Amino acid sequence: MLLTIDMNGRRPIYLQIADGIKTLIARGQLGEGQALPGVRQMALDLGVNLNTIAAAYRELQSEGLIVVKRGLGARVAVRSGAPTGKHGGDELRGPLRSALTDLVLAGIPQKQILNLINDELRTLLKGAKS
Amino acid sequence: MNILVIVGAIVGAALATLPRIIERWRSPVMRGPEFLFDVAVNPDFHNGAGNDILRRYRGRLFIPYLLEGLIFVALWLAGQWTIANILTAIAVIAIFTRFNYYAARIWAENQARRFERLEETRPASSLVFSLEPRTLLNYTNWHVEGGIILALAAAAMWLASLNPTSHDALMIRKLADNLIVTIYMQVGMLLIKRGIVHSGSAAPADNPEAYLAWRESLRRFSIGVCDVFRLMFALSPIFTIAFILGSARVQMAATAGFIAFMVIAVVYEWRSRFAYLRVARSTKPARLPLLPGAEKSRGPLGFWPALPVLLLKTTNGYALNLASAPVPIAGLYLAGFAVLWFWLVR
Repeated sequence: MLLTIDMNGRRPIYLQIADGIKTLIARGQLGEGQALPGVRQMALDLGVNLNTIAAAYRELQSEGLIVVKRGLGARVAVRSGAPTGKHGGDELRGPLRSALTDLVLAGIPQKQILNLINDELRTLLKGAKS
Repeated sequence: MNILVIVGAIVGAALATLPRIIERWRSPVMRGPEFLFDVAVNPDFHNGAGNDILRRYRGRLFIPYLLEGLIFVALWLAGQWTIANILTAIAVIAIFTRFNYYAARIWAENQARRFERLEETRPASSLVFSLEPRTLLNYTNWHVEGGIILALAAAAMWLASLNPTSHDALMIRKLADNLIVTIYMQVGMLLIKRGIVHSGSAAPADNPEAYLAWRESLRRFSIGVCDVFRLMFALSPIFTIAFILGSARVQMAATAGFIAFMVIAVVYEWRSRFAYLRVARSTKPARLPLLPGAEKSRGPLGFWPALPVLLLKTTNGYALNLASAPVPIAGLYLAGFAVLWFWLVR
């Protein structure tokens, strides 16, 4: 299971890590209960500050995607059907609305936006559990 | 002291050293004429300045072996020709050989960097890393661990069964001290093994699978060698007791056991080293981005509390990060060793 990080990218490294893990969970490549590397291992691999990795794990934990237990490390959380963590169902609409607003402001027609969403969803769900 | 054991130790050490000499002799050019170690150069580099750099690098490799010969002669002349002294000398020289190799390699790479191909010097901006957790348990060979525990327990039980009135009490005490030091050294070697397991492993985004496979191959090979050394040190008390206190038949069996172990260890090292080299040879080296603190580093030491890495790649080699966790652990371990030594000789 590999994750790619752009060290010179504008997006903070901790968000890139969190997003990467989120995508792998969404695709089902990281299964429920699967162990993740410790903060120290990941920081050593990337040569970054321990706090950077800890921030990524906090982000994932706050969204209910992983469970971190002291001494036992991090694991992918067991998900229930309903959204958990800090994002309730309504809160999930926020980022979606924001992304759609950007697309509309960019002048992209509605049909093309729908195609884009379908394409992304298909890629994301490829290999995911039904 | 059984002369067969001494010959076995020296021949074993020499045979174990041979593939390492071959590897280090060839490693600067193992990826072909377009590289000197990890530095990309023009193929004609080896006909000019590269030839001189290579010759001087290879000459430096033999410094530890010269020193090893001098130490053995000194031990012989001083009448200190014991298995414990020979094994200690081999261990010290093995560590020195490694540092000497790194120093020679860093020197050669720095010299070659003046002739580096510019198009190959850009460090990778995207890094790939594995999400597989690496724990000491994943890299534990239970046969080796069982062998270590068995060897140490057998030595302890043998010593416990001795009657001080029928044996030289001072000799028993020295053998017990040797066992305690060996157990302490086992802890140290386990810490080294843990360090190897946790050593960093990221790859450039253009060829991540092959690069990570090479890193994993290096990790497994280093752990294998570390385990062989752990087993060798764990066996040393039982062999020493057998050589000193055993009957003629026990001494014979210990000699045969020692030689058999050395042969197996050497064959194992040869096989695993060449298997690792096959992977290394086919992996293109990559330049990973320098970390923020490393750019300003001037000397071989630094203090970067924000970074967990022990060795930081800098613009002209490597710098030891004194703020990383292994440094205080190593300091405590060495202080503990000094206290133990003081307590034992008291």
